[in-house]
Amino acid sequence: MLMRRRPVVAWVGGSGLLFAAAALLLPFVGPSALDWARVWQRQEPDWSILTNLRLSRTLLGLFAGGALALAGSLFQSMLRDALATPYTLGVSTGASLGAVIAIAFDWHTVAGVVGIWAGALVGAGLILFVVMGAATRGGQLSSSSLLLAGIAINSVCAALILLVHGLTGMSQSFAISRWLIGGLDAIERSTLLVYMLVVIATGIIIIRQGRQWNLLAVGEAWAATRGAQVRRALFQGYVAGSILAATTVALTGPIGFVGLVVPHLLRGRLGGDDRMLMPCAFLLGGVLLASCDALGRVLLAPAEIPAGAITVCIGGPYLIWVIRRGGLR
Amino acid sequence: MIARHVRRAFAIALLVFLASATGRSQPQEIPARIVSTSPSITETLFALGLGDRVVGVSTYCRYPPAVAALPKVGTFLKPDAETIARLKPDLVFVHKGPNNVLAQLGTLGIKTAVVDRGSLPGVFTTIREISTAANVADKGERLVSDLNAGLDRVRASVAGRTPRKLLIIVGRRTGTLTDVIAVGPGSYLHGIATIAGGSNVLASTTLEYPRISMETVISLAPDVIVDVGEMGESPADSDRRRQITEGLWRSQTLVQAVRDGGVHAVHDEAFVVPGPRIVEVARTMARWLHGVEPR
Repeated sequence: MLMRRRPVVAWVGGSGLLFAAAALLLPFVGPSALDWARVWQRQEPDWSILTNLRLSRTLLGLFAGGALALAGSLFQSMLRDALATPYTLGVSTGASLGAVIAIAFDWHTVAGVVGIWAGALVGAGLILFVVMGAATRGGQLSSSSLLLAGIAINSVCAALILLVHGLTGMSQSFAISRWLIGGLDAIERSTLLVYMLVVIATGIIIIRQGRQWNLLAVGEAWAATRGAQVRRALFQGYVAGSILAATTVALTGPIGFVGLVVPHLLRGRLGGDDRMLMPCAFLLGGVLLASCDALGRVLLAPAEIPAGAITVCIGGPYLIWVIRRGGLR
Repeated sequence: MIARHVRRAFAIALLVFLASATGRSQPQEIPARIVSTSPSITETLFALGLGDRVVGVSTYCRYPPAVAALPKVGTFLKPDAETIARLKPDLVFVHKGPNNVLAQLGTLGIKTAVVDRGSLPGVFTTIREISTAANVADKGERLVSDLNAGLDRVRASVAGRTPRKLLIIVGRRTGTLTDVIAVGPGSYLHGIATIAGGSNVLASTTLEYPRISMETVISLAPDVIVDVGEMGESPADSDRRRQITEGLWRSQTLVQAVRDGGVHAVHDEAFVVPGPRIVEVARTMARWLHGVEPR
């Protein structure tokens, strides 16, 4: 399959520019006014507010939004399901269950890592193996078995979250409710760096196999006739998408909408070629989440509105408008 | 014709008078079996001297210690009608909430009373509502009067002092200082902080419990931070959590209160239960804010 080079360069380049512009400009948006003379002279607290808190939060928003949109477009192609999201295959709910258990049992830190993050990653890892085991039959793995196993495990994890939530004390119950809303906040530089490296590495692996996802989006049998190793591709796609979703959920809590809608909106403009769609979904998904978070920081300042709520409030009506114009495929 | 109407009106008036007179002469009994569905209701019932009549409390009730042995009837958001019914109560106190427990208890013929919740004036309203429904209105008025006198003593102890900037945190992501939920205007802790000589740094927000970032904590530069974000299940657990919370704050050297040693990690549930322990909370806040010890 050949892509016309000019639109690819224009879309990916344009999206990349927007991503870079967001990274540079959004840290200047915040609930309090910065004293630019103090920032210039690197005086506190203005310098640290800009470089530590706002930059960290903006980068987390850009990479979290990107990771969710990329995982969403991957699962939609791989499973041939328009409603697939990063949360469809159970791993994100497994991460949420791990985080909720960490809150309920009060694991502040585990091996030097924040307990919620550790719990989320362990939960996601365990569920990844459970779903994979449940979906594999006689050494064969299909997108439909993966989807059904994922949905089943998803439901079980969601039920266990409710169970744990119901058995905790008042303080923990409040903390769990808040965590399940999801949201962005500044995190330590070292944690952010590790997260960004994981997302970049996983993202490159996924995007480089764009042709494979294009073939799977048509059908497994058809993909096999074109030389795709279907079982391996499904395994790789599931693990890679799960890594993106799990690491993101661990740091931000569950943030909906971005992973479902960004790929659909772009598919309406770009068509279904994942080689172009996926990089654009990553870059623009990041821009959408980080921008919505910046808006949430200032709309009711100093109070904040969770980024996920802003994303849905803006994206939902826009999606309906696009549907009414017939711009969705 | 007119005479017939006059006679009928007279007869009705006589009946109404007799009915009200009969009602007045009936002794108003104090319910023997009371169920509480929230910590603030439970604490109020015990403060009114009705503790020995309480036969069921909410899952979250821990004070006074006597409630530990009582049957639990769910949370204030979702009380369990069946468990309540098995306790055969004469009166059940509930808060308004997104549940249909009132209708369920009504169907079972169980008497209920709905009480207020949330703000500082609401604490006094709740005491009056509970004491009236339990037929101990005089005790309720005495309790209100005692609490007001206690708060007046706290107010007097800080009179003339410049209010100190205060930030009260009631929630955050466990083990981190992210996703911070603080106290805005209108909440009961805001009211108590004002009495104790504090100036809530989030008084100008429109939300009762706003979510804020660490940037906002730094830029608002509070003199004192009261962190109620993590509450323990026992005194030992609370003490452990307090140490962890203080450790988290120590690294935030850009925060004024941290540099001045003004961060207080709270492990006392009185801070999150709007009930009769408000004077205790106000005294503690006055000590942290101004170093005074109100009587």
